[in-house]
Amino acid sequence: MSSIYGFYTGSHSSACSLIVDGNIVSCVEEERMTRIKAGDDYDSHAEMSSEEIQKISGIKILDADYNLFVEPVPPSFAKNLTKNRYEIVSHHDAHAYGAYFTSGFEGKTMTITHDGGGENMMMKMFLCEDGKMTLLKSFPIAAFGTLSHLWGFSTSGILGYDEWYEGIWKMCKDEGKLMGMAANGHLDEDIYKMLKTCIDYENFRFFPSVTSMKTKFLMDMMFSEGRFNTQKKREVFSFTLQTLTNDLFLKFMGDIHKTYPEYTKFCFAGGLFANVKLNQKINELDWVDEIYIYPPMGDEGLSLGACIMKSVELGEWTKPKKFKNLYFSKSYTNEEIYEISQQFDFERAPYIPSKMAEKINNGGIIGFFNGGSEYGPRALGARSILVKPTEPDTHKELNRRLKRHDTMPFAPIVLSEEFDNLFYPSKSKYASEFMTLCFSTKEEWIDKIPAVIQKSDKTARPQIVHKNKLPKFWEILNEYYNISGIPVLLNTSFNSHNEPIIENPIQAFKTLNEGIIDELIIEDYVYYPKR
Amino acid sequence: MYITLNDEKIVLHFNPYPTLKITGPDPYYLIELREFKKNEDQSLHLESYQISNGVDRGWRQFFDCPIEFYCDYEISIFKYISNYGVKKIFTHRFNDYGKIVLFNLDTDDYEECLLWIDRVNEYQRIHGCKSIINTKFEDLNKKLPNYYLTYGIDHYKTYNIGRYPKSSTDYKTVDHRKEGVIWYGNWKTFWSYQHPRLWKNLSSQEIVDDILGL
Repeated sequence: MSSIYGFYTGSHSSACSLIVDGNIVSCVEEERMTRIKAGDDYDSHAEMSSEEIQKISGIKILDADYNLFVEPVPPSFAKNLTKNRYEIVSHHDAHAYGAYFTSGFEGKTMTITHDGGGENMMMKMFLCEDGKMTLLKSFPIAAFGTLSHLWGFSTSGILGYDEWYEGIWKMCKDEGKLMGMAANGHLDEDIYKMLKTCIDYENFRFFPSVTSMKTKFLMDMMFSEGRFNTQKKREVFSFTLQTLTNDLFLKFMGDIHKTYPEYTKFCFAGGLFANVKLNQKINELDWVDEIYIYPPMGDEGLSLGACIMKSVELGEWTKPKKFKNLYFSKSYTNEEIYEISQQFDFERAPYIPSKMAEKINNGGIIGFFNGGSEYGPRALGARSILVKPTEPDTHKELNRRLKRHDTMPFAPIVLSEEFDNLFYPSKSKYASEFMTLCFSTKEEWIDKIPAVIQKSDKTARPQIVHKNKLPKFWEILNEYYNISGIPVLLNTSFNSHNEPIIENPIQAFKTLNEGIIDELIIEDYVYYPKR
Repeated sequence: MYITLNDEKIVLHFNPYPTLKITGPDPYYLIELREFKKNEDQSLHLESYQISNGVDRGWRQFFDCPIEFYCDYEISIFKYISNYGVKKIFTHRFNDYGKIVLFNLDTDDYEECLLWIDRVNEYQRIHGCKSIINTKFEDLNKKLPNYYLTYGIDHYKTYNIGRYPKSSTDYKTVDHRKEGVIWYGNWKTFWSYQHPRLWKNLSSQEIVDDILGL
């Protein structure tokens, strides 16, 4: 039995993970430690995150049986950290192993990775069955186009550049904002054609290659023509970009169906699949039985993927399993939290779910801190802010308090027992435990939960909450359901504008101190300002 | 080479590496350099960036990619057309058939020089180019054909054959573990812009063959 450290370092989204005897011990993203968002730090190394995991686990990197670095690897850092005892893992293989072996899928499954490069490739396809993965095709980035670069360079170009010639919006950080704007846009045929000169698709080929430079060139020229100088124009561009993305990828899925009709279950990983609207369209294909998106779908998920790959090779992880949750960072005891709270001037009371549900129902904005923080980009009940979903203008108040300017609607959490009453289609529910795709909302619920529904297309990005997997999160949601008759709460990530999701109790207490949240549920207590 | 398109004038040469300048009505052009690998139809990206047509001094005014050794290059120019997008307006694939190619043999060893001349002749046989060979040995030079054409003419390509150190500007070359002619991401990886592989480990013939792609 083995201890395996995985690292992704020297780029954006650095992270470290540890698996012991085929069980995930811990996964920590560097941005949570440095407090600099991954997209703002392209030179980050998994230094603090690896230090944190050594503290959590008590297993030193130098004592581990294996140290794995995912490509691209900065050799001097790897050498220093491990005393030159490390192995290198392919970037896309790490994405793919992470996805398939946490999907829980049985039988024939296809795993597809798609990102902005990483190493030599922009995409790989694997045929998987009964814990075996076989590489079907790989697509070198120097020869093929990639939708990830289309999005990355559209994002960094749409608002122009600062004095250092860096995009006002950042690649690998602000794509979600661009995607969110699509809701209020419409299709522009000219822009669609123009974008198609940067990327197109035919017969398993995304082309032309070097989508990056072509998109950047296009965006610079369009910007200079004033094509993005109003919010409305940006929304139209965003909608058109999303439409093209969906069209090309669904054409690719159609070719897969024609060529490999026996494959109806899919695992996805890589930055492209942070696009919840694209994921929704794939899930809605009638011939697709189920999809699963690796929850840390971007490069932050590579360190765990590398550990899983080694575990599989060693026979310690034999078939696809399912995550119970993603709370893989450090957790805190009530005593530790109380000690920390003494730096602030708060009162505390035992946490009673029904009472807190009542406060949410009365309009309270409540912080929810439970266990270790989530691995991946979504707040899933470990570092969440909960609000009632019934007020249409909730986003204004939340954006004001959190100093955000988000155009994306907030996301709901929903009781697993009630999911089918609110959303459709009724498939890929495991994927939606991690908020990785959108669903359509049933007509009768659209007006009842306006704060979590996209106005234009009536979709939502729900997190299904199971009692046996997230009991504490389920409990407060269920109490709110008992009071309001609505099995849904608004869940947004516990962070302020431009900051990563909070990691520790001090950061949570600061948020409470600044009045961003009204009260803080943290493990078995509720903390609130003295009245 | 001087090429005139509709409104654009292009200067392109490979002496000793691909260099392109364009003047025309547009303020910016996107240049892309690709390479065809041996026996493959698919070309791979080597380098691309936007250049300015002299109007914006914040941008580079010409394109170059300092890889000096043999590559089966394809260089393309793209321009932006409103309501169309990014359009390829010019493409040229490296083809020195019938063209003048200059070979500078940078060795003080007479025997080695003779060996390298043999390999240059092999290159000429394969490519069908017209070669001009320049060595450090005057008596040899005088025996070689086209010696007196060395200066003042428009070469299509220049090869410098020798043993050259890594330059501090070789920022896209890779660490020792990735040496060899492969692609890493969008970039071809090689030891330096003048040698695909570290010449210290190679025989005299391998050095010249590496540079000439034989």
